[in-house]
Amino acid sequence: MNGKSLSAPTKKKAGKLQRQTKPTKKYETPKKELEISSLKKRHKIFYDELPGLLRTIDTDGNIIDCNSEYANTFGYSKKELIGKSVFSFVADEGRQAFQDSFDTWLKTGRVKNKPVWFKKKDGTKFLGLVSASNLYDENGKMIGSNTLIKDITEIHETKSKLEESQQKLQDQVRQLEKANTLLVDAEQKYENLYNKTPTLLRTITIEGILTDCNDSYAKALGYTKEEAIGASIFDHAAERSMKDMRDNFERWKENHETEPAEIWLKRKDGSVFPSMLSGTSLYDERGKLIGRTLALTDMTEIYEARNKLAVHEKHLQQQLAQLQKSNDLLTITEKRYRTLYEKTPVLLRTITTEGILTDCNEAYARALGYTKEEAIGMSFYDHTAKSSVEDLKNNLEQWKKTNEVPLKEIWMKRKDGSIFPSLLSGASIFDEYGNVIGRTVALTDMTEIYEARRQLEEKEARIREQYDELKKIDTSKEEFTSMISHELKTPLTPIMGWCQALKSPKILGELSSKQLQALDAIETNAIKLKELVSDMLDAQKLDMKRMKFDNKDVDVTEMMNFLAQNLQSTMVPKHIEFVNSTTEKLTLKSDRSRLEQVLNNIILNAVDFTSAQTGKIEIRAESKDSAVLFMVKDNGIGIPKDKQSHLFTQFYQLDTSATRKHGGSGLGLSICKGIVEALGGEIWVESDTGKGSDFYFTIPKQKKIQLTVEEKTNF
Amino acid sequence: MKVLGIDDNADINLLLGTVLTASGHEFTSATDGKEGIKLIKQNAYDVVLLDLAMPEFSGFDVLEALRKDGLIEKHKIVLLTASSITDEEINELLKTGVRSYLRKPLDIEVFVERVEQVHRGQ
Repeated sequence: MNGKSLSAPTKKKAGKLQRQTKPTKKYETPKKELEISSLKKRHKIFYDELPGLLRTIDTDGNIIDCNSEYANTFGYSKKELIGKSVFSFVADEGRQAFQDSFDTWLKTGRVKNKPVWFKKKDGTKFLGLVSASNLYDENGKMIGSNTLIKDITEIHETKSKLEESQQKLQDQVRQLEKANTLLVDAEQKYENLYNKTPTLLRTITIEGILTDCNDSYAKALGYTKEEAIGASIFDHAAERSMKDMRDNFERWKENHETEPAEIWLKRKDGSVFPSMLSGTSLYDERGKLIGRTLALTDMTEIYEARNKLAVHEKHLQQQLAQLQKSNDLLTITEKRYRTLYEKTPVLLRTITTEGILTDCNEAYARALGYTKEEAIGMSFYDHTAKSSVEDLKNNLEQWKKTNEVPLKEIWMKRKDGSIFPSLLSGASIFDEYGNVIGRTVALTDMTEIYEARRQLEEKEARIREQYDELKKIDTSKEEFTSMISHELKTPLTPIMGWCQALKSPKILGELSSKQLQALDAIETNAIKLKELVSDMLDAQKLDMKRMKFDNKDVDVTEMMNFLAQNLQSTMVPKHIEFVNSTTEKLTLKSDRSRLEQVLNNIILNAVDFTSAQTGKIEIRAESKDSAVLFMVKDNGIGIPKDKQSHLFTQFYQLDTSATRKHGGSGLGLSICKGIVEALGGEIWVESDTGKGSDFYFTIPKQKKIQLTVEEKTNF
Repeated sequence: MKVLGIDDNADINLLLGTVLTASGHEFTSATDGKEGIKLIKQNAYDVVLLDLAMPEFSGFDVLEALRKDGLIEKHKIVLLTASSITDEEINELLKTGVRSYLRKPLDIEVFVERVEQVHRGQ
């Protein structure tokens, strides 16, 4: 390069240069003197005007001559320069190199084409390239040289800059290479990452068509990679996520940002699984959106885990809620218990197994005349009356044995020594190991109960007394009736018997008609007396429910016929028309003699209240539902409506002339009622004043007759 | 026919005796149970008429005494009663061998007939 740069200017002045080379050769053959002079002159001009720094030195290094440019460049006058050592023009940094070069020149006659730093008079430096042509004497001995110094500072600088820029370029190239390598690596890595990552990756166009996907993606969806690429992302979305997917897709196209979303993906076989979608947009070199790469994280496990977590959480929450609830309940229960314990009017105390009070309620303390503070800590024997201490001791022992608090009446002792009865009941308290550590006892103040009981007992005693008295009265009434009937019947026997005997001529002979008339009067009244006694006895029996009844087959039709015949004679004196209009064939399970008694009674009553000559009595029995209805109908004086309700009560008699004439016990109809009802039937009358009377009674066809049982009253 | 009447009421005894005698029968009377038993044991009667309600030694006592000796069946007893003795009680007595009973006051015709029936074993 040095050579080239030196030759270039030489070529520009080709003629001169060639001439310069020729005289150099002529110096080597200085024999032609004449030529020398002109040459010297021409040389001188050439020498002086030669562009470049030219100097001539001897072998000592001293300057013999130099051209103007040399002097100008270094800042000296030509005179100053002649005789100066060339070393004085060399910069410090070039000295060593120059010395070496000078030494080499002296030894070999060759000048190294090497740039050297020179120093000008003003101290500025420049890099110069030295070339030289040697000067020889006639003996061929080298006596000096013409030295041309070319200022190559600019070249040097340019070169330096070039080198520098070359260096930079190389650096850039290296960096580029490195970057390229890195890029390749990165691409490789990316490729690996894309394909090998377990995350499902797909790259799509803005139309949503897959341009790429990784193995994981294809595998997860059950496709081959080749199948998957080219498909639409919507082909890979589950129905349920279609809308989310579309929304996400549309939003991405709008703002180029992929919002993370949970998307259910659909496999080739139609099964679905959840995934978490995230992604980055892809742009072309002009910054236009061309697609995006999406990462889809299979969420199945996360979902399962999340589901499990949710279930666990739910369980946990349920348990918590339950716990909270039971805790609340416990609190409520405790509160309730406490409230109950405190506020109940029942006296409550809690004791240890030794009988020491650990707690009691206000009611307890108040009832015993202590404050609660005083009562707690005392032995329960202190609160017990002397008479009950033994009972309480037994109660405590029994409790310790069985863990059950036996119910016991205990007399309590107040602070002032007064006592009151109470009923003790309670429940054991257990520790967490199930050992009895105490008991809570409820003491019901029995004072009022005792008082009530006493009053009750008193009342009971009074009632019993009254009952006994009544019973006695009843008994004596019964005895009285019994006695009366005996005492009355006994004298009636000879009266009636003698009347009969007297009327019989073959016993005591004939009597006069007047005597017979008197005897009839005696006998009639004796019979009435006998009937009265019978009625009294029947009424008594019915009252005491001691009347006994048969429960046998009764031929009702036959009975009605019998009565109609049997009573016909009774109708004769008053010429009463007596008719039995029974047509049905009727039977009953009942007591015939009592039925006859009832019918007799009603019929004879009808006879009494029916007018002679015009009187008519009709009797009939007929089936009515599950009973037999008996009827005794007369066209007598009738019974006023307002009197009918009393008709069947004892000793009630209508105040009429007919009644007075009839007399009677006043028990007849009440006995009828008693018998009918005892036989399970009903009796009633339909009548009005002057309209005759219709007596009815029913007897059930199948009635289990009540067996008479003596009334039992127990107190 | 020999008839013994045991009744504390002498009027009744007189009546029964009069009626039975008029019918051609022989009648003896006793006014208490003990005397009646004594007569029963001393004499042979075709029919014994026994009043149940008598003071001290009642008709029941007489029956009890006769039952002990097994004499109730033998002596064709007809009970005469005015007391409020029930039909059941009478039926019980009939089971012990008493032949018949009549409630006071008596219808004398029925009475004579009944006594004659009992005597005939009906």
